Amino acid sequence: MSLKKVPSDAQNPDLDWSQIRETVMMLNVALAQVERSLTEGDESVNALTKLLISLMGKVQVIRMATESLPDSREKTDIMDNCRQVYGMMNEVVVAFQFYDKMTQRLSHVSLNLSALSDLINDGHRLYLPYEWRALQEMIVSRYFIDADRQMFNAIRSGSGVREALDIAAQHRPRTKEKDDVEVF
Amino acid sequence: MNQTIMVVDDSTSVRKMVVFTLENAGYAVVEAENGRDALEKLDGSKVNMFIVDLNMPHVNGLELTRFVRAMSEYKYTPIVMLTTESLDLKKQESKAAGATGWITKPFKPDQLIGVVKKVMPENNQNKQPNPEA
Repeated sequence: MSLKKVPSDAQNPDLDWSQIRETVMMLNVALAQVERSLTEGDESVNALTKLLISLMGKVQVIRMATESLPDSREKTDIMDNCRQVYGMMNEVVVAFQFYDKMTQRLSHVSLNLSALSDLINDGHRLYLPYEWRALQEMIVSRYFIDADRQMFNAIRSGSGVREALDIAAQHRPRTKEKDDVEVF
Repeated sequence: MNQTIMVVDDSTSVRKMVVFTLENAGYAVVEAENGRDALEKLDGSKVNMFIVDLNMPHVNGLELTRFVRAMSEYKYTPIVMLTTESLDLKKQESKAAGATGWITKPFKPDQLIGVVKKVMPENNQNKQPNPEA
């Protein structure tokens, strides 16, 4: 992304896109902050993953040690608690995947905005229709889920944001069904 | 000796969760960031199973499946697709490319281990994938 130092005319829109350039750059710096948070978030996720692995190892040691004890109420309690911890870990693994989905989407927005900024900053490319079509294609190409693509196609067909989001919602599977797992 | 599973996913956090789940169940894991990285790491060494994300840069899951199926060492090694995709068309394409199974993200660890146990060669010796199916 190139940042040209040009005096601002944003207060008096000049119809040569400078107010748009400036606004996009404002969004870009805001996104750079989000990106930094995401990087820090990734470090935290890695630390948490290591912690989880270590925690599971410890629970396993407790479970194995308990198994060798004679039957008692205490033994049953400990084994029950170990099972509960395993169950909680399963939920943590699922929760992490939603975090991943969020970071992926933010990353797409960041890259797309950066590409938009590059295009607006280039006085030659700015007025070439195929450059805009290429940018839109690139935005759509980052998304692999049918519902997301339908959402962008709706915008390109003239729908508003609300309508496009509704269309995406209609194409999104309501819940995770059992047949989401299949052995061929 | 532990059975080895290669996990291919461009998302570090998802990969870590898959690795965590598999190692916790007693499997050895080799990680790859995308299809190209996976192919570079496939040097003929023993891999008992692949878990592959469908949408990745630098050789996607479908392309990787086709490459792997073309390698004699891994011709019948199970390949499970782990993906956010929900399109039936993609599922059929994966099956045609030679994938053995399909799991949609977010996955539950028990669910993943269930599929792994089901398709692991020792449990599946007589079943060979049919890319034409």
